[in-house]
Amino acid sequence: MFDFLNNTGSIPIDYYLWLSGVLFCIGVMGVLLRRNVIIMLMSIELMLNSVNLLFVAFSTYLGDAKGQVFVFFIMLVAAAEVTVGLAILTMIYRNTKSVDIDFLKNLKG
Amino acid sequence: MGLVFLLSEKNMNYASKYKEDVYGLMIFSTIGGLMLLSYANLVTLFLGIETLSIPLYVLVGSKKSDLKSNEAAMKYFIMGSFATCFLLLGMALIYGAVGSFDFREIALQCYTDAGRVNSLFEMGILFLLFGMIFKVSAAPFHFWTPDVYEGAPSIITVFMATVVKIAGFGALARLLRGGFPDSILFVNFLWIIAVLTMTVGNLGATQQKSIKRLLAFSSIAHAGVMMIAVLAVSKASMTNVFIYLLAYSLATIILFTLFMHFADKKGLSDISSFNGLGKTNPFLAATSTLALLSLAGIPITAGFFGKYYIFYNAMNQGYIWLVILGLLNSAIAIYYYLGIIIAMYFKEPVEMKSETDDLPFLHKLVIAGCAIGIILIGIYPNRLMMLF
Repeated sequence: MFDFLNNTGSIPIDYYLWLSGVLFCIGVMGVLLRRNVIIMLMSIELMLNSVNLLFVAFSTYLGDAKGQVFVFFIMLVAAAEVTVGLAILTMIYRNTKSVDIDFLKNLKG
Repeated sequence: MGLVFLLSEKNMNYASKYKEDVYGLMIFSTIGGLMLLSYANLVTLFLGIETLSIPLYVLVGSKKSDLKSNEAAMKYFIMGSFATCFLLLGMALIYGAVGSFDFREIALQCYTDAGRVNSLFEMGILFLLFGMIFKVSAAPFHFWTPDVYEGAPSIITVFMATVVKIAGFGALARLLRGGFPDSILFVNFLWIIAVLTMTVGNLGATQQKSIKRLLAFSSIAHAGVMMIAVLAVSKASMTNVFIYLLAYSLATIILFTLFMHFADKKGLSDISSFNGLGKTNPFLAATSTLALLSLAGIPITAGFFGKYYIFYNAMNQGYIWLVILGLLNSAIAIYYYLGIIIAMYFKEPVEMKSETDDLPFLHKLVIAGCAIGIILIGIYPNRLMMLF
């Protein structure tokens, strides 16, 4: 049933590991370094998608469909999460007229 | 267990236009918490965490026009989803090493051929723990806690400090009891986290003037103590964690109820709002003293037995130094808890006005109930032990 999955034999699993590792790191850097909230949201999406890639690669490698099912869960939750994030951002934009992270410094102590 | 009961107690005075939304989201969040207390599969763990967190992001920002609340929501959201990514990365690596999400299968697989999968699996566990540690606000990832606790509406802060905390530690305890081999990496890592969390929490709390931030730091410190319980994995440690959490939650509810009342009435949010409470309102002063003593771990309160069982268990498992450091930290904690008690009994009140009549009956009932709970657990801890 999953025969077509095994045709990826030409690309070793290491390549997928490296690729998703690099994508994940780019995402982390984006969240840590960028000041724009929308870019930060995109970086978080990038991290999630690199994990998705990892799941799919492992699932193909192991010949097991569970990983791919999990990817659907992740996609669903990521969509919900980003919706909430954008809603929070809209709320902030209404109050401050800015999408910059620098206004987040009122709470200190 | 105990979770829904705690929630229903606190849903009382949210003075906002969006009342029904808030209750609905709280219930969603609680369902996530219940999932976290009873999962046996990594998929359920992930879904539980997200069901718990996503409504919380909204709840933290539910004071729409208040910039502080907005800021807290944004911080919590960014940090929360960042941690979720690490959690997922950990799960992906574990899945790659073992080929399953089920706890029993994972435990079996990693025992049998640990040699082959070792490094990938250990990396996975490490990332998974990063994610979980964030959720329970332990030391290296605690920075969001004081800000979010301060910025969120008070009732949501209570919710976060009790229900979310219980769920987070329940999940962590289940994860560690799930039958993973205690590789050296794992234990040393948690050891450092536990000590760091306690110390940072307690030292941070001594610096605070605002009650909300003080309670946030004290909750970080308590997270450290619970990390000890989680670390000394044994059959008893689940019970210990729950007794401790119950004691902590009861005391926190009392203090926050009082705090909300003061913030409403006097518009004060620092420790001076407790000044002279012993004279103006002996009932509230007595109950909050009880709560503070319980948090500090003084005998005949619930907090004492919570700490006692945790340290006793850790001693039996051979973590002597951890216990010593834990006790030193408890001493620091007593310093700032007693600061509030001193303010209540030995300082002059800000304004001589009786507060008794203003406090709604329901709030008094909650406070009295929690106080009775603290004393009962403190006197008959065995009864509670048998329940679990």
